[in-house]
Amino acid sequence: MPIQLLAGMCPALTSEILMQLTSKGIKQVIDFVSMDPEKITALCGLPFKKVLSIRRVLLAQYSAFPVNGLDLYNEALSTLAVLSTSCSNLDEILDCGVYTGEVTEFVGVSVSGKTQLCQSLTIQVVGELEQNVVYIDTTGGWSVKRAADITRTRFPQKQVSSVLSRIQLCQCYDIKELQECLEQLQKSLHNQPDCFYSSLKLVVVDSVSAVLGSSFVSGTYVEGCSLLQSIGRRLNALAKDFAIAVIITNDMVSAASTTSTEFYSMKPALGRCWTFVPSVRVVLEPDKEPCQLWECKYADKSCSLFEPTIKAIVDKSVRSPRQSTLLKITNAGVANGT
Amino acid sequence: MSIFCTSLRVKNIGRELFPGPGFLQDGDVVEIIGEQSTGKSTILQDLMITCLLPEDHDGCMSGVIYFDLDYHFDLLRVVAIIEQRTQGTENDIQNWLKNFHLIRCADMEQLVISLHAIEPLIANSKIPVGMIILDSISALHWVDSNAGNNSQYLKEAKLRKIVQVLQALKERYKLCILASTQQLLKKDCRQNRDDEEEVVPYKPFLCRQWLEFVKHRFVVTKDDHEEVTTRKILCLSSKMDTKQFVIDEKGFHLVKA
Repeated sequence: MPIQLLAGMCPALTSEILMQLTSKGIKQVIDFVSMDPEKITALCGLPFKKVLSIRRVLLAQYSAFPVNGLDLYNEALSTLAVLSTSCSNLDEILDCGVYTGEVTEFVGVSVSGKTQLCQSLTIQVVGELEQNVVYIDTTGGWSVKRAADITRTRFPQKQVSSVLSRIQLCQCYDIKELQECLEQLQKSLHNQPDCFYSSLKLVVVDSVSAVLGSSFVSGTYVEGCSLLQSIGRRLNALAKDFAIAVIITNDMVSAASTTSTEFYSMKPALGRCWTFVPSVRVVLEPDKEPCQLWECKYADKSCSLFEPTIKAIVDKSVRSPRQSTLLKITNAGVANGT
Repeated sequence: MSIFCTSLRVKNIGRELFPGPGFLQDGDVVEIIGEQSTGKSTILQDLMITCLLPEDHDGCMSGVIYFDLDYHFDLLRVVAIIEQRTQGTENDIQNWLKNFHLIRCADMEQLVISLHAIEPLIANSKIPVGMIILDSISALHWVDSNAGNNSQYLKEAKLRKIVQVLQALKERYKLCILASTQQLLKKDCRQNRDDEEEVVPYKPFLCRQWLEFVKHRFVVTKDDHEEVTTRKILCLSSKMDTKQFVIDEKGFHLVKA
């Protein structure tokens, strides 16, 4: 919402002056600051000194504060954390792990292990690093049983309930709920009413496409894009302002083929404007088609030992070049594949 | 000529990219357009580092004000690139960083107000400010378009005000203005191959005032083949060829043909 000029915003801005300004079409703060003080004086017949003093207060009140590079450097050094994924292959292609202050996107088709990866990372952060996690589940894919299993296998010496108590689960099934949830999270982090938020290091949104995909269904294309841009910004702001690692998952959709050898290719969902949101993107590709996976699982009697293999490719990152590695899903979460 | 050059703060930087003589210098407005992960920010940061570094490292020893509109700016990476490039000590780097300011704005409205508010910072700084960087200017394009409803005038109102204040700052303080633009619209696919005229490799969507404001315009592209990435930069404002470049831990550099 644009900031309207109001009487009493600053001592010099009385209701009479405000009337004079609005009668000349200066209604918003940006209208006032964008116009030369001399011009306002001439146009509205106000004393130059008053115009300057109003301008000074408005600029101080509504501008963003410039941070000096040295201060920013010291702050960045003290707040940066790299969350290891416990899987050395994945850490290697991500240059040591998931970085705080960034949005990392895992994108892949169904059964490419996105939710498994999120749960595995969550358990790693709460179990190994003993930091807190907010897990925003938009698909109903979160399984507490699976989380407990991973915890038991990976940290046999720890009490499951105390490890899982570090996770806060939010279930959002539409855009509005997600927006409210993120807004609430930002507010809580800002106030830090309890220690849960002071050691919050990871926010997971699994998955963004499940709720944001519907932004194009109702309303116009521009409205949809606008919603995506503002939610994307909110996620990035959350990561930067509070030095949190944000992990999101996204689906793949088919796109027109770029090469002549195949009929269609795959691209991340949510369109062009979402591609600019994450700082790091990892594409996950299942080794086998879903139907083959089904056969493997049931043809083989030792089904509990079946561990699907996934190929992970770094698609976007400033730190690492495009490279790939193999992962597999085991009882203890995501591990190195062979 | 030499007297003229020494009076400029930002001069002769970006020799590889900009057409000579003078290359990138005071008062130039540069726009870098590209899709995600093509290297827009890295190129901006490379020019920014050159601006910050002292003369003995081929820099300009000038200040930089960086508007991080995407919330993607990572200072530690910039410091890592400076270390690679200069082998400077921690102390040196900390000193150079003092001339750098970062501003994060909540929305375009705050950007307009902040651009007006930084004037004292520019006017009073001991080391003159040589560059303002906006990364990226299209970060809230759709949000503003939506807020303007059906009125093209209202949709572009904020960007027009931004161009207006940048113009004023540029003229008053002879600054360079650098911006990146996300390629938010798909470029026209209806390429007429018989046509002699070259197809413009991007689709402009920002307001006319901005398009006219820019002096040097670049388009960066990326091509992934298995695990090899090829990046290319094309200068639209001069008759230069497409150049190939790489991005690694040393930042941005061109591939020598």
